[in-house]
Amino acid sequence: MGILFTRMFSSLFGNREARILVLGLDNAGKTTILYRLQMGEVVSTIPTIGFNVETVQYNNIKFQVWDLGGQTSIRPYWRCYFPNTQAVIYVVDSSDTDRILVAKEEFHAILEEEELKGAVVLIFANKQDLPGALDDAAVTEALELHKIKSRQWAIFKTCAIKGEGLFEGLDWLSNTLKSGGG
Amino acid sequence: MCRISKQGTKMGKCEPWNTYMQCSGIHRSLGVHISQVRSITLDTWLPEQVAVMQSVGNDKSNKGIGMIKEDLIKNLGTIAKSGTSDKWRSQSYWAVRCWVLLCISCVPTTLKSVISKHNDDKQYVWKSKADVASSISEDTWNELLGCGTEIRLHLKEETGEYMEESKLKVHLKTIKKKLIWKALDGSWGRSGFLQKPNLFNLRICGRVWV
Repeated sequence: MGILFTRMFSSLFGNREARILVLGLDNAGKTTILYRLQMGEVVSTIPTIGFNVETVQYNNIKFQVWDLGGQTSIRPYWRCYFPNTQAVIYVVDSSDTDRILVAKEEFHAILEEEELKGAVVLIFANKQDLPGALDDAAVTEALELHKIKSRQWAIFKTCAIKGEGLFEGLDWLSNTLKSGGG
Repeated sequence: MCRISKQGTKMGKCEPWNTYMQCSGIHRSLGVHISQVRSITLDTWLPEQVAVMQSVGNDKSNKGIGMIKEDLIKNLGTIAKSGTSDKWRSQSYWAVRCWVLLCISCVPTTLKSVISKHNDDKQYVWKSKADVASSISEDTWNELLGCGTEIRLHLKEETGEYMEESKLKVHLKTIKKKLIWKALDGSWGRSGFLQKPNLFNLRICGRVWV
């Protein structure tokens, strides 16, 4: 009863918390996005070996955002972070057309994971400022997002260094999480 | 391989871990159409990527591939003639010349020369003296570069402080930062800044003569 009351209380007064994983290939922009969201600044990053975790308060939700390193040999460790995750932000370097296939495979492998069955998925088609960047429709096509069944997802065009699109994505995320998704 | 620190970049295998990681960070921020970073220990390599690395080798890729005469004219020919400020604003000019321009116009010198050797051409030297128009000629007197580009600055006496490589580096770094910020600002557009990968054919050799 006490727990129920606490839950009602926090949903009324908006103290929700959500655990978010930021995943994607190396050099997709995950760390830049994390710190752009958290500090509103562009930080110069180095390849993440391990993870960065920050809390981002937005729309009355406390997002605990985990940014995990994306190099090939450390991707298998992602699964250690899967339990209790409400949402996955999958970041794609839209200008890296050579590796978009790899990005697709990794993405669908994540969707297969049992522990992420309930998680909503937000895709950031990042680096829209670069020449030759695929737009959201093209990334949707390339990642075969239409194949996603029984899961809420959305894709946003972003440019992390300019901060474009990130908070639109977070808006979607908070609305989806509030309405019971994840 | 890293042209920023002039050292081989081997993520995960080097002593000054942070230095290399910083460099790779800079490379990554340029976008994959210009520079790609692969870790030897953390990434998988396709056979063709290994082949490219083998065929180019450390030495060549550190020096850059150099420029043929036309490139030299295109990249440097017109900058020294007039004041540089207007030229800088046009995007196509801005892109290639970041480094050369930095050395050429931001350090007060009596004589500047850029020596470049591309595999498909002879070694050429581009020279610019104070306010005299620049000239390009075949280089028959300097030692052969093999391939690559070298920038030589003959400093004025009062700027002898730049003889110290560290001071020159700091000076260039401050200016570069300002420029990049200006570019990101939108006054030149970031895409303009990134359009020309030729930028990376250039290398500051660290040799400075008075």
